Amino acid sequence: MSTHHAFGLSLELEEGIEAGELPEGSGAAGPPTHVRLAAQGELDARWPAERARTTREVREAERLLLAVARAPDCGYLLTIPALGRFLISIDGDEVACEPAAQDWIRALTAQALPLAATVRGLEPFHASAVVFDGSALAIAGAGGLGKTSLAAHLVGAGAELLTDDVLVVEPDEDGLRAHPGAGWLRLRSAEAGRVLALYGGRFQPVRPGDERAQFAVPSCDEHAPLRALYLLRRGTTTPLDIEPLEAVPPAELLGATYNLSVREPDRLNRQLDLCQRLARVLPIFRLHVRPGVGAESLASRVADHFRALTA
Amino acid sequence: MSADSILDERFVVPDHVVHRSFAAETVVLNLETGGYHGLNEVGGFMLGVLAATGDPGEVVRRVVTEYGAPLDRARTDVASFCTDLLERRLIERAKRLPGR
Repeated sequence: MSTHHAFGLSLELEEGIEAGELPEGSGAAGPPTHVRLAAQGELDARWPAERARTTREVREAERLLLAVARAPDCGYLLTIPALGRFLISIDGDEVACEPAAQDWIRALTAQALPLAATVRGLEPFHASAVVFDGSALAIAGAGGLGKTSLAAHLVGAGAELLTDDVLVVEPDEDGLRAHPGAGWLRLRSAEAGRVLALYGGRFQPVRPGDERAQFAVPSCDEHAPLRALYLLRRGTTTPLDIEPLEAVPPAELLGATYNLSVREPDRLNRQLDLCQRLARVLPIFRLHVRPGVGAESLASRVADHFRALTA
Repeated sequence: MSADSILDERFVVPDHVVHRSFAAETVVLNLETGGYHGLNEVGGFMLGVLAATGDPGEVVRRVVTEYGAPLDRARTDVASFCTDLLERRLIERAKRLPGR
């Protein structure tokens, strides 16, 4: 068994589950979540399909890409046909995995563990985050706007990666705490080529991919105080790249959730509370993604802006 | 239903409805349905008074005081506001009129 932590969870991974992108050691509070391989036929035997309710489905045309169902006395069943199935216990303290492909770990780290974190009372956002000098900045925005590319170039500019794509934020006595997630970056081939050429040794290829290559990068393995949030938006007429947002649209914060599957009242209430706290205590900025301004240039401006903010 | 009749009623915000204020908006969340509703600044103010007092007439008085709205306009707006919240099941008629 190996001990890791990610998304605010302390994790115990059964022998044979290799998740090198997850920070090692027990760096999160609370009892651990046990991650293990399910025995053959176990998930079907345990899952009470007749009492389950589907809470989310993602399809491309007619093809099912992802489904989540909830059974009140059992937990959540996450199904990603291309990668596997995962049964998350109702209190989030166990994830039983039924792999269906070689790179099934991707589904564990990107979907199953964030779902377990939500079940355990944590709140994941669809955001990337990096750390400069012990302070975290987060980048959120719609898919395809370049959160990962921006995070990559911020790492190139000297930051440590805290998480890519899934950021768990938790209130604490000093403000807000940002938790580390998976410490590897998955980049499209064109972007991968650019960062390798620009930053060389800071990006260590881990795994090639058909669409995206995976890189180990300097990362922050401990939670860090969240000091700013940058909300990406494409195209604008404003001459500024970065604008402070005095009145953050709450829909934009609520819409940045990573988890649409858990709709229990406690969770919805918690999410609204956290979004209110984000809006009240966190400096939030609009980051305009304009044609002709690449991620490298944008990252340089964000790095300068954040350093000035936290100086 | 006339404005006068709804302004004479009493309302409560049920336990399954929560609301949180943001800088320029109040978000109302129905925990039973998972539905979100947005209110502008004045709407958020009216909901706050209604949640605290249950009395639409008090909401009218406070809107007149806080925003300088003409009384007739405030009565119409508050009646319409309460009707809308009722239709969305974000408030309920009080089972027993307080103090009566």
